[in-house]
Amino acid sequence: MSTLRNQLICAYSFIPYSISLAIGLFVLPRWLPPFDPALDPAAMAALFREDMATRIGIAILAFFSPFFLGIWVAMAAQLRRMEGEGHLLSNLMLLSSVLQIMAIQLPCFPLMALMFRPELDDQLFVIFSTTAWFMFLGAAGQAFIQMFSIGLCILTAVPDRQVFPRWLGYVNMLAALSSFPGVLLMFFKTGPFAWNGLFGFWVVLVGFSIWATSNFLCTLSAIKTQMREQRAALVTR
Amino acid sequence: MWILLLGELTLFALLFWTYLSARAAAPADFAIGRQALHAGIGLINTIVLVSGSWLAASAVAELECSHRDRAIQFFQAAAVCGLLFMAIKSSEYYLYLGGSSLLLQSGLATYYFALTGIHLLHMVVASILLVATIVTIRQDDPAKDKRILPELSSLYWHMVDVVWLVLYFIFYIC
Repeated sequence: MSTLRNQLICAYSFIPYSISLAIGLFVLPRWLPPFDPALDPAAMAALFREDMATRIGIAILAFFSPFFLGIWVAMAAQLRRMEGEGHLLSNLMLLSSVLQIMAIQLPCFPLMALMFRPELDDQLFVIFSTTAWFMFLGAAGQAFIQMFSIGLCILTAVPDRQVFPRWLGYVNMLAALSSFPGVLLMFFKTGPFAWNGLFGFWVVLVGFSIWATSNFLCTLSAIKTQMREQRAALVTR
Repeated sequence: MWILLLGELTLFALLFWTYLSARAAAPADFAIGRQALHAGIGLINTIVLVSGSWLAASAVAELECSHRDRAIQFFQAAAVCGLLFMAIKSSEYYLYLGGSSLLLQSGLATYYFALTGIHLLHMVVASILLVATIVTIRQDDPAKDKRILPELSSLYWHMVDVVWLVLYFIFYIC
């Protein structure tokens, strides 16, 4: 039972992560949507220099992004009940979630370094902020692997081990296939495929939110169901 | 499985709308690029995909009549159509990217490669689904529900086929 309680605690870490992502990446820096990729270097650097709100936001994001691990550890524990021996897909999901978290956290540190040294050249602000958005939104490969491994695990489970509903498997597969356009933001400075465009940003944001929330709610449901089953088993003894 | 199929169609509908909006804003520029596209290659690809659709549907029909071996043959033929499409599409890309094509000088290029490239990736997925279906049917595992994967792979192929028909129309014809 304490294992399941720990799983529940891990799963609930999704909430502080989501709040910190919203505040740190969108609200404080006012990046909803992100700034124009086609801005000239001086204008782009000015967005960061002497902007304490952005600095605080990125610091929050850097600290809280590893909290995203908890939900995936909890989900992996539930996926293993479906997989049986080997745990290949749940391990693949966990490892790719680590890569996802690194894609959010790692770009924060060069940005913090630049804001720590505002006297640096404008071009440095351009290259590091460009790299940051490429990593925040364009790291589609690890997202694909994570989503695909969850989807495959759920959809290939035998019926008597169906811990997660099949519709969640299809949601994960849809999210995985929808991650393809995310790579295009590295080729466009304007238009719908740029990092502030319809596909570069809004489809990614909405798709990611639906995907992550669905997985979170279903993981909570699976853990609580298992808790109820264990309590019932104890009672009947 | 309808979440997956309808979600994909919604994504492609958004892509089509984005392209058509951009084309309406710069019709002359897009018309220049349109001249560089080979409608004949597009037609061949359309025939290949529609044939693959027919083969996949026939495979599902054979499976429902418990003609396992014939179903496998039809799925194999559909998978070959998928490979053929990928080969033709890759050759077409090489043709356009290899020289100073009119296509690359127009605003059409970015949308053409983005939309058909995303479609091509979905074709790869559709072909992998067909192969997985063939393997599953051959395994004949009584613990698994053998209806879902063949239906899913066939429906997914039809979806990718419908998307291609729209792409063919908006890029090569209209």
